[in-house]
Parts: sequence; structure tokens; C-alpha cells
Amino acid sequence: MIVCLECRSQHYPGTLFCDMCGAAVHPSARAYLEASQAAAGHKSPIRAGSKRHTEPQPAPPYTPDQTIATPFAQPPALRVRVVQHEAELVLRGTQFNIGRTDPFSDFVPEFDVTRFDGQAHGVSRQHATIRWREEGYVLCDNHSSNGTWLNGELLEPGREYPLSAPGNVRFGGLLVQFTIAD
Amino acid sequence: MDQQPADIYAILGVKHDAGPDEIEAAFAAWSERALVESIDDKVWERVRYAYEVLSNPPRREIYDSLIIETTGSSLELDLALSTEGVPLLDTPYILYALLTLRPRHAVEERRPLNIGLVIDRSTSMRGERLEKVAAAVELLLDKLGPEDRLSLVSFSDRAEVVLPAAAIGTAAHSPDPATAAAWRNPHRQLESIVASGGTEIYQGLRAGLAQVATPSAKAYTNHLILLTDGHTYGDAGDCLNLATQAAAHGIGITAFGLGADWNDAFLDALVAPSGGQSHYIERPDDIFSHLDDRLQGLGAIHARNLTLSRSWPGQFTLRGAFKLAPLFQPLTADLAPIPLGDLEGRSPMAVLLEFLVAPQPIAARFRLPFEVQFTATNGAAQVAGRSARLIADSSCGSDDNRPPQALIEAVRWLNLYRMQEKAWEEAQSGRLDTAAARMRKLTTRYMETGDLRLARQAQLEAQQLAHSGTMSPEGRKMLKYGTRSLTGPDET
Repeated sequence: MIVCLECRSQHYPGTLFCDMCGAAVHPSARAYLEASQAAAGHKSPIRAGSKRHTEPQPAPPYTPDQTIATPFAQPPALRVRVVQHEAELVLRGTQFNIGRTDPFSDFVPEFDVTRFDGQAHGVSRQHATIRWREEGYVLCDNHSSNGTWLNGELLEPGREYPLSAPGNVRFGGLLVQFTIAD
Repeated sequence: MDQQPADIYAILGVKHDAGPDEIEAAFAAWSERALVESIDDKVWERVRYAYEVLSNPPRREIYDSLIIETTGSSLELDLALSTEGVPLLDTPYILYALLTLRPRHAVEERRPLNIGLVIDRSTSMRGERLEKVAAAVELLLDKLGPEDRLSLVSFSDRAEVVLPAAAIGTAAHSPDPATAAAWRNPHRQLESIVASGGTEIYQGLRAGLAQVATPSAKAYTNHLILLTDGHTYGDAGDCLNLATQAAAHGIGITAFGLGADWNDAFLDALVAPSGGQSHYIERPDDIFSHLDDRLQGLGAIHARNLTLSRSWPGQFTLRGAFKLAPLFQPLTADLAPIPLGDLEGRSPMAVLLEFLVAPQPIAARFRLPFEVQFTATNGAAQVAGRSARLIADSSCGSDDNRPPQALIEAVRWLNLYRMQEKAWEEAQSGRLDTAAARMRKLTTRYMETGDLRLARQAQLEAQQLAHSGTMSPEGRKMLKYGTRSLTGPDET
């Protein structure tokens, strides 16, 4: 039998994770968890803090002096790659809503993820908004059910964060990469 | 999660018939590259793994045995095991197998749908719930093609046919006067549903199946969609018999539970014989999108009635079987064969199996065959198979196996799901301290996955268990179905 180092419960050999406390009991499973924590750890205060039962700290909110002026005077087009569906599209304009078409309120977002299984990925109808500010694009979570992550950091709802391009954004469970198209 | 088949020959960049020299040379080239440019850790890890296996003749032989394909099958079956060797022990050993099925060619079957909607109209459905159902059905009518058949049955402690089964395009001109009259104004029919009475799902299922049953069943994708918000009383066994009969006639079942007060274990059992799905609808506003998603899935089928044969040797006992992708669904491990449902849409199907291997006192070799039978798009019965070879040997340690990352990740999600199920069982049977302690552990585990919503809910439930000795039904549904949906999206 092998013993879980966290809760001392016993398991048959070959077991990967402890079903009592959820800790890894196999060296490969431990390496996997450590790698996924480390990958998130240097970016995300959430994962790093989770083991100490601290309240999750949101990423620092957007303030103008933190941003670096971009050379674009006009809003450049955003190229959007929906990673899980291997799809690409280009958005042009100064404001895009991200979400799912709501047939009951006639809400149609500019970036409609209905066809990318948005529902299954946990994307809210009015999930988030991207706006063009003088300094560049900003991303704002609209109090979505499952949250928005920018480069691994959970966004505080209702606040604007500079959307660096290229940037990895997760709307609920839907992974999207933004780059400047032109 | 990473469902890509890991062809380690391709990772290392050698052909399948490469000799030892070529493998050494390929790895040497990688090592040189690693010195001059930075290679992603994950890539390097895979290259090293590929080299370790391919440079070791016994391990390479075992790996090769895994990639021999069944030719002529329209589905591809990939297999990953948590180990290649079982240690010699006097205790059982846990073995995981991850099966991934994907269509070889992007051929979809375009059969018209034959859908039976079975809608709960018990008292608790009154108001917004029934209104949203009616609105959703009206919207769906526009999305169905003229060839598609639809019927709608409402039930409480008895069932009524609201819309008799008919092809959408010609329903209003049906030779049957009652059918024609109902379909001339579906809106009025839907509005006529009155919420009152109890919930007897058997009544609804029986009436719904009578509508879906058609002499030309083979020309359609036949499916029953049940939507309920309550517990059924006294007829659960009859319902399960009916579900088994439906599966035998090629009729699939999807079950939706609305709100918090319904029996998730019962709905899982109801969909098991046909390998269907059960889902949680949190708010009435979400009814339409859930139904719409379901119809889209049914509209694109690559293979139907997949079943997994129980063809493994007697030393291997199946302890658990779970479909992880495209959507999480527990499978009934004690059925023979195990129904897996249809292969829908573009995403592959992933199935995780957990085996208990009997204690192996002496060295041995095993063949572990996996066979999935299914009906191909051309109607032919086909088999996709893979065979694994395992050794039991004194050279195998109890933890020196190196399971593939995709398999570790799959087992991690499964373990989370099992933990919340256990916490619920413990709370139900009065072991409140154990349940609360487990729920606190789960809070940490959900935090590690980055899902704060589930973490917060687990924390609330842990507090509630400690203070009042109960879990909230809403929290129970949210954790269970929230954990199920964790397994879907790929974050890596």
C-alpha cells in the first residue's frame, strides 16, 4: 500500500491522486500538479495563494500611467484565434462585446461565441467587453458567471485592464488569443 | 485536455522503422538544439520521454503494440495506459486506461431528426419555467428542417400529447385531422399547457416514446429529450426499464434537470442505457441554449451506438468508467457491453477506465484488448480496436511508471468529481465532520484549478455542513455539474 503524504490515508499502488484529500500520491502526478502550479504561479496570485487559504487577490486594476503608449493612432484590427476550435476571425472597431446571442433580449455581441460552444465553455451572454482607449485596447469583465482571465490572471468584474497583444484570454472555459492584425 | 495522440516517433522525428542508430542520432540532434536555443520544457520533456521509450527495446515493443491500428474502421481508437508494467505485489494494483475515439474522415451523417420532447408540467413548473420552455420550443421550430420530426408531450401525474409527431414541413397539412389542427397553431398548443399536479416521469416517458416510435426509425436520428424539475414518485424502476427498451430500439435519451430539486442519480441512470447525457439547467433563461446545443449535437453524428466490449482478462476488474469528452458523463461499469452513446460533433470522445489488477505474485505477460463496436455512417457495423500488452515483473516498481500527461490530467478531474460525490454521500448518511473536512479539502483543490466559483461554493458548503449539518441542494447541483464541466475545456 502507498500512503498519502497529506492525509495519511492508504491507497493501492498505481493510484495517482488521493481520493480522500485530492493530493497527488504518485510522483508523476505530483510533478504534474507542481508544473501546473508553477506555470500559473509566477503570473497568477490566485493559484500561488490557494494553498494558504488566502482570499484570492484580483489582478491590479488598470490605471493610465501603467500603460505604454502604442504607436497606433487609429484602432488596429484585432485578430482573434479561438484555440479550442482552431478558428480565426478579425474584429474592427472601437468596442466589441464578447458573449452569446440572447434571443430573448435581442442582444447580439460583436464577437458571438455561440458557434464555438460558448454555452458549454461557460461563456455568459454578456461576458466581457473590449474597448479602444487612447493607449490601446482594454478588456473589462461584465460580471460574468465564470469569470475572465487575462494571461492567467482573474479579472475583477467591471474594471478595465490593458489588453496587451498578443494576449491570452480565457472567457469562462473558452481560450482565445488576441493579436494585432495589421 | 490534451487529447492528441502522442506518436512518440513523430515527437522525436524518426520513422516507425528507425533503427537504434537513427534514434540515437535524432536524440543527439535534439540535445544539441537544446544547447543553442531554448526549448519549451514541455516539448523537451516529451522528447526525452520518446527517447527513453524508443531506446529501450522491451518498452519500444510494448509501445509498438499500442499503435497497431485496426484497419478499415472509420473510427480511430487511441489508447494510453498509466503503466506498461505491473509490480509483483501481494496487493491489488490500480491501472488507468484513457481511450480516445475520433472519426478518421470528416464524414457526417445527415439524417433527419426525430425528436420527442417530454416536458414536466407539475405545479413547480408554473410561471417562468413553463413560459421559458414554451418560448424555447417555438424558437426551436424555426431551427428544425422541414424533414425533421418533432413531438411534444407534457406530463404531471398523467401525460398529454401537445404536439403529435409530424415532419415540420408538412405537419399542418397532415392527413390526420388532430395532428393538422395542433400544428396549424403550435403557439396556442404550447400556451395551453397548464402547470398542476405531481411528477410521474414514467407517464411522460411512455407517451413520449409512443410518439418517437416510427416504422421508418432507421431513416432518422431518434431521440427523446426529458425536461423535469422534480423527483419522480414510485415509478423510477419502470422508467429505467423503459429507457432500456428505448435504447434497444435505437432511441437515445437526454435528460435535463431544471433548478435544484431533482434526482441527479436517477437522471444519470435513465440516460445510461443509451449512453446519453444528463445536464443541469441552473436558470429558466438557459433552457433555450441547452436545447439548441442538444439539437446541434444530434444533427452532426459521425458514428452511432458506440459500445465498449468487456474483453479484458479476468485479472482485470473494472472499478469505474467515465466519459470525459466531449461532455462528462459517468458510465455504467457493470453493463455488458458498456454503452457510450453516439459520436457527435467535431470533438473526439474520451473515455477513462479504472481497473483493479489482481495481485501478481509471479512474472506474467498480459494482452489487454479494447474494442468499441459502432454503427458507421453507411449503416455498417464496425469495430475499432486497440490491444495493449502489459508485463508483471520484479523489475517494475510500484511508482516508477510514467503515465502520459493527458491521462494524469483526466484522472485528476475524475478524482475531483469523486470527492464531491463522496462528500455528498457522507452528508446524506450523517457523517458530517468527514463531509465538512472533505469539502474544505475540495475548496483548496478547486482553487488550484483556478475555478473560484466552485471554490467559493465548496467553502460555503463546508461552513453550512459544520453549522447546520446540511448541504444546499443548489450547491450540490452546482458543484456536481460544475466539476463535470471542468473536464471539458482545454486550459493547457
